Amino acid sequence: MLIVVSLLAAFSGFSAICVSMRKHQREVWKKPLDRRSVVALRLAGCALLALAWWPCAAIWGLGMGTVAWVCCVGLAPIALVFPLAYAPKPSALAGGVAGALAVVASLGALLVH
Amino acid sequence: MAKSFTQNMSWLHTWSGLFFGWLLVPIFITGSICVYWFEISVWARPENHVMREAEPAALVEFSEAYLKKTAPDSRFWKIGLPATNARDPILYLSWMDKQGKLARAQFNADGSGDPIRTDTIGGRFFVNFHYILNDLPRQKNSIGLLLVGAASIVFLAGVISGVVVHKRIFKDFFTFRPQAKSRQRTWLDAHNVLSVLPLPFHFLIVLTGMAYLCYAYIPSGIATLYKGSEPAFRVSADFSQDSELVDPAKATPGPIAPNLALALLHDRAVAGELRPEVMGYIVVRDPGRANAVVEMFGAHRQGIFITNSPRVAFDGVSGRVIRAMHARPPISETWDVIAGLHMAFFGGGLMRLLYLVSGVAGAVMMATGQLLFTIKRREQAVSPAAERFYAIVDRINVATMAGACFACIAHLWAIRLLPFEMAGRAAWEVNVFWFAWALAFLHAALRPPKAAWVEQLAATAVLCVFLPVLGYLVPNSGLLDMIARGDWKTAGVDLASLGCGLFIGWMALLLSGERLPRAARKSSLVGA
Repeated sequence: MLIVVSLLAAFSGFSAICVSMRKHQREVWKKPLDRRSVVALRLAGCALLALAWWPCAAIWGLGMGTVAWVCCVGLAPIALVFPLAYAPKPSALAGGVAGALAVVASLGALLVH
Repeated sequence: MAKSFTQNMSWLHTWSGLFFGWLLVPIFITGSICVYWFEISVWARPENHVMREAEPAALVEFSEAYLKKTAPDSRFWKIGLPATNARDPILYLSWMDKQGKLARAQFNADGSGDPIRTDTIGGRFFVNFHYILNDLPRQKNSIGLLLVGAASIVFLAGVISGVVVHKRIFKDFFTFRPQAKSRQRTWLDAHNVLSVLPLPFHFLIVLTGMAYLCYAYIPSGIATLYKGSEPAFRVSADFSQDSELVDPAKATPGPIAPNLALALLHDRAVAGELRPEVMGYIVVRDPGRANAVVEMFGAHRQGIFITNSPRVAFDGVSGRVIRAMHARPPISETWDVIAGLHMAFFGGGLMRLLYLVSGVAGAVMMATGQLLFTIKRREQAVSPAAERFYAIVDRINVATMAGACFACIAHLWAIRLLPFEMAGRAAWEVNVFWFAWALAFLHAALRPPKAAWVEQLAATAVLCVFLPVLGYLVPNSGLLDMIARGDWKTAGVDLASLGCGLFIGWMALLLSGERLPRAARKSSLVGA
């Protein structure tokens, strides 16, 4: 089930990058974020996308894991973009929740190891 | 006036996309399905379902007895153990008959020795359609092969030209505007989202698909170096260290080759890696003669290197090891990586699921592109001729996209419903596919495009949703029973069909409300 962690991380990573863009901030919060939050969101987004790679590599090894990561990173944001158009706030919220879950699950998996 | 680079790219993207999209969408649909073609094959033989495979040694013993009785004079025997296609539990025997033709027999791999009587194409037709557009042998069907190759090149060109045309690729990365005033905008957004995000995967899948068959697409290499003989090329690329067959006429008669099952144990001692559990297949040359050679091949390893398996050959009389091998030539390994990447032979069911969904995303992406063509142009049609052309495009769109889905599910219905004892059953399973598709073309020609879209998608959805019900008409295939006994391989086919049916039905609903005023559309979505 580690693959779910990867999908969650990819989903939340793209959510963070998405809401770091001004036009999507307007949809979600009505007013733009300050510069520092934007940078923080982008860094968090990239970190989460990188985190999405780890479960894939853990399941399949470096070579195959990277292929799986490409799939996850390509598919997860589709589940973000379409709901975002209809319900921006809940979608962004879902991104945040997914990120938290992914981080917690990864830490949990590390501790179990 | 000279056109700009972007305009040129846009022209290329539009027109090559339109014409080859008609091919590429069905290719992507069948390609996504055939990620699970072994599972479909198992699903297609309900009376032969195997829950537990027999020990390899028992299967080899059975095979040897069968072959000694059936084909004592054959120059070669081949015993394909279930580990060769770990996902399809079948014991596969082949030999040369008296006329020098390849003969074969298939058995249940549970050790019962039950022959597989169901004459079914299983999941194989999806594979054949995916890469040669029909089920003729590839060598007789270069047109199908080359059309798929051309479509692949167009796809890669379409990906690159699409990136050039799509100027706001990063700004619109997450943009989908269903409330936009023009429907064109909404469809374009959907097209962009579905192409940009999975782009790396789509590029990889098409490129590896082409590279895997490069020797067939560009046959001049084989024509020059191997006098046009593909088997000779394969031998040289794959089995370059094999010895020549010794003519049995020249060979002195000797004692019968030792029991293969013993050889299996013998082999375990010789090649530590080639354990019986991972034994793929056994080839016996000149069985029962003095020059008999028994060669054992490991099954596909679970890894990107799909066929890089160990093998060992030994003298069929003395049991002396002639050659043991653990690595293949680099070209063979490279080829395996490419094939493994394309066909998801590695990574198990989960990886294949990712491939399936990514492939479907690709099909939907191209379908949105096809729709955009007519949505964008219909309103600007400058002449009656242009209008007629767009009307034809509209109809072909319906038949190649919704119609292809309809034909695929009709094919699966045929696999379930045709009587098991019917003569030429496998051929009829394929015929049903073509009839269903022809019907879809006819329907699309007669009905207004909008209605044709909704009706064909709805018909496909209904067939998909009810496919699991058909399982109750044949042995061992009730969906709930399969789930209860943990037979996820076959239950998965039914469940996937159910899922696709719901998804396609939802699309049919969306399209049926497409042109109504917003309020009415909402009520039609809710009311239906």
